[in-house]
Amino acid sequence: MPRIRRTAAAGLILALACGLGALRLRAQDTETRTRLLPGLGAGYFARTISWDEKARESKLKSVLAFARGELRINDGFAVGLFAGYSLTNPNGIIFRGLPFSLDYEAGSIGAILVGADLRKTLFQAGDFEFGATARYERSFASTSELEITSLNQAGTAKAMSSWQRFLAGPFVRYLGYESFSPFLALTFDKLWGEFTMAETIGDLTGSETKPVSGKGIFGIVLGTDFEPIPGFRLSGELSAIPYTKLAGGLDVDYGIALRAIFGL
Amino acid sequence: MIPLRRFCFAAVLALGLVFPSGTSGTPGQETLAGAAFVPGQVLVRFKPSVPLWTKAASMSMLRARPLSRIAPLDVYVVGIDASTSVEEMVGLFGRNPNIAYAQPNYVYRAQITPNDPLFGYQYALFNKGQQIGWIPGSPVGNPNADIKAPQGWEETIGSSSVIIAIVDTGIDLTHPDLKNKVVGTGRDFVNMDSVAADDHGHGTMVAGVAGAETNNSEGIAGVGWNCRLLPVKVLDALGLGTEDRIIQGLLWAVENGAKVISLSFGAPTTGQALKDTIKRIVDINGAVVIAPTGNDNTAVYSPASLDAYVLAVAATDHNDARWVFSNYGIEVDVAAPGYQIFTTYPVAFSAGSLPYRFQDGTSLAAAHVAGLAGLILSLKPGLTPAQVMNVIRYSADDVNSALYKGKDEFIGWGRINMEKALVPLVISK
Repeated sequence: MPRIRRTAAAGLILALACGLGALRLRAQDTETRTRLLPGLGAGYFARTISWDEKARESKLKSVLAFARGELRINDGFAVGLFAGYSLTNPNGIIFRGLPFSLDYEAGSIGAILVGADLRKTLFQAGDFEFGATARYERSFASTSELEITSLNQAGTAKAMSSWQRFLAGPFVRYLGYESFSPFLALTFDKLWGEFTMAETIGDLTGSETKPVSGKGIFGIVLGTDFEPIPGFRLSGELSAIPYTKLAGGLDVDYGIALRAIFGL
Repeated sequence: MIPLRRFCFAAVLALGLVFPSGTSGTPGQETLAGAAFVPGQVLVRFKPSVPLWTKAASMSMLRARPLSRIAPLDVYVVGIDASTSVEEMVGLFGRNPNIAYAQPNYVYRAQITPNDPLFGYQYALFNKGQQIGWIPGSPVGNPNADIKAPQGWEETIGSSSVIIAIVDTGIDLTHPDLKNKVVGTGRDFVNMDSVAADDHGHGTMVAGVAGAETNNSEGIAGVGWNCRLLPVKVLDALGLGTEDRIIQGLLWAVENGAKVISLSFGAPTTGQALKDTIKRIVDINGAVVIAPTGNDNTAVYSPASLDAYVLAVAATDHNDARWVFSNYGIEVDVAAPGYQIFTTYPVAFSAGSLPYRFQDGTSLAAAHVAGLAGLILSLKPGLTPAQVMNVIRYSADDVNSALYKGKDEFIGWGRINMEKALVPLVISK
């Protein structure tokens, strides 16, 4: 019953599900059942980030796709590792520390994504299960090279992005239905990263690194696990993180995730 | 089946309009700073006969969603997927025969227009095709043949900590558009006293262009807006100055905090002592030195010809053409308007009329560049003189490219462009 989730093409996942069998390991100890479950996941989030010492803000959007392995030790405790690819769009970050200020609007930068997650059931009360979950994911630095064409001297800009995200919190799941189990989690959700822009225009060179951090650190996750056939489980979730806008007032950032797990 | 599909699509469209996406809503003001168009949005207008369900399907196929609708025009504000750029999406929508047009949701800037009542005469800063001169029937300029001052001021109006030294005939310290901008009373190396008053007029005219008090409901606007002016009198009442005075003036200027030096004089040759002085104030004091090429339609005068250390400025006119008397040569770095420039003039010489006048000259062209250098250093105080000079060079508009593509000996890299020099350049694929 894992619950780490990503959005994407459900059709692709279903097709893969037909071709993949579940790996299942059983420890000799009859008291301990250890299983390794393969899976796939995808997700999308748009997160408001602040930079220039919180004086400015923009949106960071990221699409994620990954393969995941989950190790289940006893029922109720699961550790997952995942690796894949992220497309991160930091449009709107402005680098004013360069000889020529640059406003990045060039869209997504691809990067390797890795992460880990864990889930632990703490106790059950009737049809409700209570537990805790945590996840860490990191999109490694990658570079996108772009041309600067608006000046009378040709130039290039190299944009490099990397970010990390950690979320953790308690969850409650309803187990009263046979094939699907909705859950609700309250999370501490921190996003941080660095974006670097280097420019070379004629004899001018410069580089500026901008630390960024996600606005809002507490969120709510609403999702469900769904088992249409034995040995194949889908998990989907929608997350919302409220934050205070720079101009005042509240707004909410959203994320969506979908994950498929194979095996009993 | 069709009615059901129509219903479903219409419902999706309606839901999309009623509950716009939280992740792609209208971005905040900060998000738009410097952007040419709103990221993640396009404007789409369908052809009149296109039914609602087709509109919904057209958007859905491209993973786009309606955020709002401008009913009188039937234009949809559409949120697009993060993985697709605005330009790509405009192209994709454009191929759809049901769509009349698709375009980026452009960002328009509220341009800063100072409230100085005579700003309208400063075509050099903002040329909207106005008449050049007081006299009815005076020529009019080409709109946009200007240095894009209002656009540049959107990014910065400068810092009072940046001082532009006007090394010239002095400044009229009582002038209503200058008296609050000068640092103290300057230094007079002609009469060897501490009051750099102007007994010629040239320094006052240069000072007004570079840094007249702006947005003060009085007279004209100065390019450097908030930057302050340091009067350094090295030229006498006839506009003549000796090399020893000029050297003393330059050294005094940098010792008193000047980061931009406007030199409004020239001669066919320069002594080694002045060359050494300029090299020193650039290399050691980090000052940006700007000088006119000269007004005789001949080879570039010195010190403008000291290539690596001085930014040599030629003059253009109200049509972005080279001013006919502007000196030329390979040393020319950039150009700026220098024909019929409306600027401050000493009160004492104005005989009861307004203390402003139209004047020609590459000194006035150089003064525009000095103001821009002040703004650049206000925004980026860490830049070296060489970097400031290159920012000004590379951001210039090659306005004579039809005749001379690239850098040429008449206007160098081109007529300066404050918007390109100051406002963040949008980097897109």
